[in-house]
Amino acid sequence: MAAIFAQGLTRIYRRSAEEIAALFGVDLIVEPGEFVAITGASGAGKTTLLNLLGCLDRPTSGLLKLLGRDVSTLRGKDLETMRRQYVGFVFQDYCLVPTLTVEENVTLPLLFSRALHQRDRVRDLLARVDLQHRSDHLPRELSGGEQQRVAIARALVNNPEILLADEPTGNLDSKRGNEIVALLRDMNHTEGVTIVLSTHNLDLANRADRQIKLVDGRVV
Amino acid sequence: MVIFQFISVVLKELRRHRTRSALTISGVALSVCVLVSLLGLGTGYRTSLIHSIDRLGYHVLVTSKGCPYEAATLLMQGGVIPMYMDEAIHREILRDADVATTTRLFLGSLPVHREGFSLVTGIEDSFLKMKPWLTFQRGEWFGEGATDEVILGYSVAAYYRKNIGDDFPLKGMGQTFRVRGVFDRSGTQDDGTIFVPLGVAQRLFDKKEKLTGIGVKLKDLSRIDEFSERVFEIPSVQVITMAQVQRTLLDLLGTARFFIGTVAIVAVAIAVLGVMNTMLIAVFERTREIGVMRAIGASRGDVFALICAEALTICTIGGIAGGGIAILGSRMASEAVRAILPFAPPGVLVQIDGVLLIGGIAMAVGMGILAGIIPGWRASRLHPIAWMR
Ligand SMILES: Nc1ncnc2c1ncn2[C@@H]1O[C@H](COP(=O)(O)OP(=O)(O)OP(=O)(O)O)[C@@H](O)[C@H]1O
Ligand SMILES: [Mg+2]
Repeated sequence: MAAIFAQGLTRIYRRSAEEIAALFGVDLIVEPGEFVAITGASGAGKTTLLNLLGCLDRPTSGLLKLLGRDVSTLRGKDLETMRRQYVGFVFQDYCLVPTLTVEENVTLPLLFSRALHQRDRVRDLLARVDLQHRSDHLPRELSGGEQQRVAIARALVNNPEILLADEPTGNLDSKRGNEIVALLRDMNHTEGVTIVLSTHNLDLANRADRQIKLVDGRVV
Repeated sequence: MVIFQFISVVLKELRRHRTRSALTISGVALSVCVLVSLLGLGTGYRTSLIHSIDRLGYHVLVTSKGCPYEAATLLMQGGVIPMYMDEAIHREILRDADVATTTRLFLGSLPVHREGFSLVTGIEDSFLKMKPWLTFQRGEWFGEGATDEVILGYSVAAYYRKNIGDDFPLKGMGQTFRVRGVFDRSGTQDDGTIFVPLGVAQRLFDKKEKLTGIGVKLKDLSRIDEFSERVFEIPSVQVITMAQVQRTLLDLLGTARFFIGTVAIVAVAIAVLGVMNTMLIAVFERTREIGVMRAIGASRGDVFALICAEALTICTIGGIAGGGIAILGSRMASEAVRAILPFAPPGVLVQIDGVLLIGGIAMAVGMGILAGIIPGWRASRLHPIAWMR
């Protein structure tokens, strides 16, 4: 069973009279444990695709299965459940909650899945991203690379099967970017989590198991 | 517990915008303070009033005809009502079969000097029989046939620091008096009154054989209606019963409370709108944060709960602060009320007890829920990726 199975996946944005096909007829299979990079120019549809895979958005048409479950027709609560249980998300600009400490940020998904008894997992992950000594710091006291490591820990705390990262290195210099990819690679090996990331950077993309190139909303 | 985690997230959020949070909380505190004080005024005023009326000593007061508010004021604290009746009326009332005791009263007012006491009451021996609790702290009753003696109410003596035998000039009366006695504190208007013998008062105000009122104690209180009807036959005289006084003054209080109540309701509404507005701004500002929370697993309900909890926290803190301020400020509020109402009994008029305080805080919690619903709903409807562009 594929971790991700997409067929004819299409997302059309309607803006008054205009229709923009951000994604058109995308077929995609990602096996469990795979590490896949999505590349493509700006506006190619990378974010659009990842949002669909992350159940943050719904396709206009086409089929999307995550871990064998058809999510293309799901709505509301069912999408919430998918996001909570099976998917972790990492954003380009980290998106930590600025008022909460590092540890609290990583704990937040446990709060939302009513699993605060699994707090050990927070400690564990903070150690894995080498930030255990910064637990009580606020995000603004951390560098970009450190914040992104916190975001990765946060995305993994619920033990998702799939980790989606939309240009996770986009705001970082190449050294920090390399560290983040190395960290993701490590998580991919040790946790067995399936990873799909998007990037402009071909060097980084080359370190993935496989690359998928998008051009104008289509896979080439 | 999940709820405490939610609250802790909320508190951190509130600390982020200290000034804004403080202002919003103040708005709630103010409205709850007004509301609690108002309700406290109801209880306190009633208690004080009933106490004062009990302590009047007479069942009915016979006065010359006039406005009932004036009459009530006259009865409770004296006042300058230039209406007098003949002593003959007293003799007529004495003949009535239902009457147990009477006491003749002559109330006069001195020209006010400084903030001092201006109320002079002429009394006779039976005055003390009517008020057995009114005892002498120092000194004694007027000497036989004395024309230059005063007995001072507790507060008057304390204010002027007068002792037995001291001179006591009555301004504008061209005569100096000597302090003969000082009454104990009674908690009524008697504390602020200067007493002289009845005849002296009549002479001072140049109203020989005239009275301003007759206090009457009946043999049987249940005969009060029959008695009132008979007195009603006497021309140019009216009977004020204690029940009437109470009703009249409570009516007056009711009117005052209605106006303050309107203000309180407006204050509450403004506070709710204020909190709602603050929360709507917060939701707008946090579009991205809320979207991210949805992305990392928050349900619509979670987002709604977070925003609602924030409004609730603001209002609860405001409610507790407002209740506290109301308690601390109840003495000041009492004085303010005293300045507004034409008659106010002595004592603390605004009494706030535990029940009222908890009620006020519960009210604030209700305000919080009300103020949180719309922003919470808005937040929960935000699309998880709306913030991305
Ligand atoms: N909400 C939207 N409404 C209208 N058009 C949109 C919307 N979101 C995306 N688009 C359009 O869809 C296309 C794909 O956008 P997308 O953000 O997926 O590209 P991307 O590959 O992530 O680009 P970048 O590398 O700049 O992040 C673009 O032409 C964009 O303008
Ligand atoms: Mg993008």
